[in-house]
Amino acid sequence: MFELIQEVKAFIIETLDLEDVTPADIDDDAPLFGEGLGLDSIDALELGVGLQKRYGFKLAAEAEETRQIFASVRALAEYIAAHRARS
Amino acid sequence: MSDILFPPLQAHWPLPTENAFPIAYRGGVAISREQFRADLLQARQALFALQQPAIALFEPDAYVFVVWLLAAWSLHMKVVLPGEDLASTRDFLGLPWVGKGSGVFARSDWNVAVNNPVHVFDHAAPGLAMFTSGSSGEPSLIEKTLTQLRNEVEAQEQAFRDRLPAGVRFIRSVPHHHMFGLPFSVLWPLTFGHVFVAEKLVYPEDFSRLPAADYVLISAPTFLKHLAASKENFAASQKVKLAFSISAGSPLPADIQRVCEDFLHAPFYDSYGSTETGAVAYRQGEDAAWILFPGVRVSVDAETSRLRIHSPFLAPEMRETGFLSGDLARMEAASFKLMGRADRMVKIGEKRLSLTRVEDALKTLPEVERGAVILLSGKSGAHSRRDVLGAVVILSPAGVAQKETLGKARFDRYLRRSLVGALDPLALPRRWRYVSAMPGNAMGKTTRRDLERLFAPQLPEAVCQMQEESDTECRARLQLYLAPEIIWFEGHFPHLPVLPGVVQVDWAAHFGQLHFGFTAPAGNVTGLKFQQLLRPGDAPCLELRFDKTRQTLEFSYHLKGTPCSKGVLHLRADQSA
Repeated sequence: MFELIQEVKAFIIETLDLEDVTPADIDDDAPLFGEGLGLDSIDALELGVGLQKRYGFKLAAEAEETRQIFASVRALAEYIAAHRARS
Repeated sequence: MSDILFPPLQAHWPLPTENAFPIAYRGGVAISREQFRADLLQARQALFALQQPAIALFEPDAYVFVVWLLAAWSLHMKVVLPGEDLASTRDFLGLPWVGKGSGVFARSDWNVAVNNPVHVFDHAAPGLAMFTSGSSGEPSLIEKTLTQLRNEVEAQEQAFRDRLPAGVRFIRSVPHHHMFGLPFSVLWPLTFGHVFVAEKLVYPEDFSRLPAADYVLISAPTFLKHLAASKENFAASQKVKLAFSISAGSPLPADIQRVCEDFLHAPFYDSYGSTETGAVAYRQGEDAAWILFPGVRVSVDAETSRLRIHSPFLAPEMRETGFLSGDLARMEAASFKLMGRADRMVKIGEKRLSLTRVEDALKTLPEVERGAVILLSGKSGAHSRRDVLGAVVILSPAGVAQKETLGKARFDRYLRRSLVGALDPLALPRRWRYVSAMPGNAMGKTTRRDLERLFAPQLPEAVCQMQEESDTECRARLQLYLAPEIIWFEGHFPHLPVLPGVVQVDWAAHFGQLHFGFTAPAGNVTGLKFQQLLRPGDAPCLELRFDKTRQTLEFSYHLKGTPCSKGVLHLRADQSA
């Protein structure tokens, strides 16, 4: 899980082009939206689209589930681990 | 004027007319007209119990939203649409908060008796109020009478009547609580016996997964961009029949429009309007001329060159003079051409934002002396990044000290967080530059260009294509794009810009750290070889291999299979540095 968390942080930084942010700056358990990283609705869409490209799965449209997936880096990593398309 | 063009609908408008179709769908399940009447009565009871002349309504589900809206109007309450659920907005409005997150209005509580009839609407009253970002930068609250809204949806039906199959469903990717989404995606279908879908589309896939039916798509360019990019998902499962799409917020780029029309076999319209005016005109593609909605007239103000709009959707007090918009325009044949904004409003993801307002908010922070904010367009690169705001800030002595303590990245976020609640999330600056004086020319004037130069990127755009890890090593492959704006091309060399070798080594270390998480600083480099130049606009591939035992990072850049450069970075053993 540690490697995946690192990978997810790199994925977020690259996908959203977060300037001057290093993986160490992102807390594993802090919320991605609102208070934590302070991401917004466009970021959510970019991340959703990016996840499909990178890991080959689609996020459900259900807003509540999406909110849980993006709750933190750890939540996102756990979701990816459970859903990524194996080649 | 309006009543001649638009004879009044039944006195019970906006209650929907009866027909055989459901009122709405949620999750593919029909919501019947009986259900709607029952929900409306319950909502009326809950609102009646409040005994208030006005409410604030914030509710993401369009069906529940409409229930509350009509219930409030039937009680002659004014409905204010905050558009966002911010603490500062709640405080500012000081109204009972109805809808999602209001708690008090859970359905089990709807059991208060209310006796006045449900069908008495006051069409002349300002039943709706919503915020707009005014040209001064301060958001102002504007009001709409029910008549204005009714006139607008009638004009919409009139303009598109021939394209609407019976039982067509209106689906949206835009919020329903502003002056594009509300009339277009909710009030229009409600009024004319079409059906609306309660939930919003978030991803392009949501659209391809809709149940088989006829649809009208109310959308915006950001969503359509992603829809166009995901067209492969549609070819196989084309059960969604699109009648047409209307987009608003910012101009719909012609290439996106063409791709969408091509694979969805329906016209994609672009609509122009504002909170104050409602819909003004529509067109099929960037190159087509604007077609005015029935009843609308426009002219260009001789003094300011701004577009003046006359329409039956304007507030009664504006009917005489018309509304002077903030858009510069030119008349062309029977139509008009927009020539850009007259003030400092910008748009991010279809949201209008005032740069002045962001600068004012910055100035209230104790760490900031003064800030200049600009829109950094994401369009220059290969992957068309999103647009963001960049802030150039002169710090106060307290700010300078704070930045020393936190370091730049943390200080950036600290400032950002300090603005949460005061500004829309999209208006929070993403990129920060700290200066001791504003850049400027000899006249002391800071131009947009001066500010933009401070944000020249230092890193390429990168998309990770592969990353794997074993017990002994980590590997990654990144697709890079070298935007011509990258700072390292400047002056190196004036007539033949190339990417300096030292920068290539630096980037390898950066991406190695990012992807493999080692913290040791890079020491010496061996085996350096530069075989081919990297130029602005190139899209090289960067291969990285981290040897865990040797603590070395091998890197190589390739351009379409041709090696450009390579080397090995040795991490310094002492990690105390």
